[in-house]
Amino acid sequence: MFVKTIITKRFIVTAVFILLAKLVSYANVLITDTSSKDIIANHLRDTIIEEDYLEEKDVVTYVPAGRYATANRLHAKMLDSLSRVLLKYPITDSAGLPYATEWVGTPNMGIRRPNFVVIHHTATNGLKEVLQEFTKPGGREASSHYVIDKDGTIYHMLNDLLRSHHAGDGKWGNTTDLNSASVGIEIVNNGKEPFTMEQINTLVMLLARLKVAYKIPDANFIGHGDIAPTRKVDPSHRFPWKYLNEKGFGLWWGDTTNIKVPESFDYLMALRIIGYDVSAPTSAVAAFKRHYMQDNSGGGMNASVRRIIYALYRKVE
Amino acid sequence: MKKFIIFGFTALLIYSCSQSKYAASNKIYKEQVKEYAKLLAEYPVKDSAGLTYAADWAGTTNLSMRRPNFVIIHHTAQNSCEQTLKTFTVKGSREVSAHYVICKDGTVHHMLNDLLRAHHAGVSRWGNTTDLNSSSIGIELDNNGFEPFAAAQINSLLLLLGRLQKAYNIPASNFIGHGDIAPTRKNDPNWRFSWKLLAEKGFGYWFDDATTVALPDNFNRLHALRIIGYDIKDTTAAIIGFKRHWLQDTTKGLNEQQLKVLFQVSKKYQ
Repeated sequence: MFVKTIITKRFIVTAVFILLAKLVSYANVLITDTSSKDIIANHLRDTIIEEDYLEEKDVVTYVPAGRYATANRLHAKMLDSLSRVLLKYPITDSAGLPYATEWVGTPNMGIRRPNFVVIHHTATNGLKEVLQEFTKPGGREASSHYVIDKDGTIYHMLNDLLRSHHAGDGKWGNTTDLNSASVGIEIVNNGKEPFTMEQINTLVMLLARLKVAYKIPDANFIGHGDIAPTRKVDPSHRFPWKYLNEKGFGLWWGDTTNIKVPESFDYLMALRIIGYDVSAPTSAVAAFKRHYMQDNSGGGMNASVRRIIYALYRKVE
Repeated sequence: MKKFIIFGFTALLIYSCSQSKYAASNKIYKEQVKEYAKLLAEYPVKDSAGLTYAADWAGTTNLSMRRPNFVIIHHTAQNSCEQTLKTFTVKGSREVSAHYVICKDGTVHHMLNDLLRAHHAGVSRWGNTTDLNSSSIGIELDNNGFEPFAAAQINSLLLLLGRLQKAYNIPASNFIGHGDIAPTRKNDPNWRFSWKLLAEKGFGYWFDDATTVALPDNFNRLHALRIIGYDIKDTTAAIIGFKRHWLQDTTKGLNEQQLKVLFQVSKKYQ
């Protein structure tokens, strides 16, 4: 009898406990008011994530040591923290919206993927400055997914699925958040020298991987100078865009011998259709010439520039 | 003693009845999201495709989550919110979803974390972007496709758009419809949707008065459509998409006055 009573009591206690837990979980529907900068901060403030949902050991298994051990540990912490943002339930209670009382999640989902590749040069003499800059929190907080050293060695500094800070203010077509939509690749180059064979070989292999992995269209392999023509000139005019096009990355205009440019051709409209932000026309022309004519003479127009813009525009129309 | 047992069973019964009918799909949601969280927390790869990766790994400390840059508005073409919730919680087959579903009474169902990718856009294109699911938030409005949108629904939508615009810094130009990004396949939201009202609130572009505008001699309708963002591979479809959005019109072709509207709209996007 005594034993039975205890069992029954436990049973009731358990039932009550489950009911309470249920109530608490209703009350704990999480807030994801993510003003973009505050994602991590909000997350850290929020302690209501189901703690058993993702245990520490699930994620941080091994942090590579070496010269960048400190940065690597911080990197690992940030990854863990960011990935947990996904675990929050969708919101049900902000901005005065009448959210449904019963939460219904959809199991049909994926992770946001890159649709563009943006190529840069580092404008440094060596690799070290770049790795230091990209592992320094605070300050400019710049980064890229990949850095390719002069000997062709690749540093993969960030999971492709996350957002690196390489594009800055820029626009391509109607896309204004290039960081969110692209993979950034930095090539170690001071901006005045040719790119090495090893670098280009490695780059081509890397681009092939990215193109397949994320189904990136040929036209969406572009340069930093293309998306931010008023601020940036990288990769420099020595970058072999024509060769890349032959390998299936980026556009090229081909043969212009039989091309007749119509009288009424509006080259700025054509540049806009290719993707350039034409709010500063001279900068857009300068960027086009750098990319498609290996010409770093600036934004001056002439008949041959016009012809090549027309030829390229015909490819993307 | 018996009473206790009966009480216990009753408690259990109440508990199990209080389980949502979506408990099963909610569970899949949680498991799936957990997998993704693990994936994101993985270190960068060092060993594929014959590439020479550095022996000394350096992870960057400057990173964030990929965010939406567009908002795509849909109508459900179904008969009730309940029906849509069901469709979006079925795993397998079409695997469709949206981040938000707004019912006729204005109730908002937030079905997926904004930072994840919902399957709402399908094969589509806008400007140079070909993976709209990866770069957008999808919002479904409960509407059978042939009826006006309820006032309560539009009110909720406006509040939601305000939140999204602020949270992800989405430019006014990038609030568009499913029929805009997939003009050969889709016609939602239907022509009754008031894009003008949205534009007045800062979501999407509207055009300046077009009555007295003179079309430039070299005006090219296809270029104008392409600059706005339309995929012009199928010209007829792109024009229908444009007219549904900016002229509340479901017919083919463009007359002189409509061309002027197209010109005015394209100027906003330049």
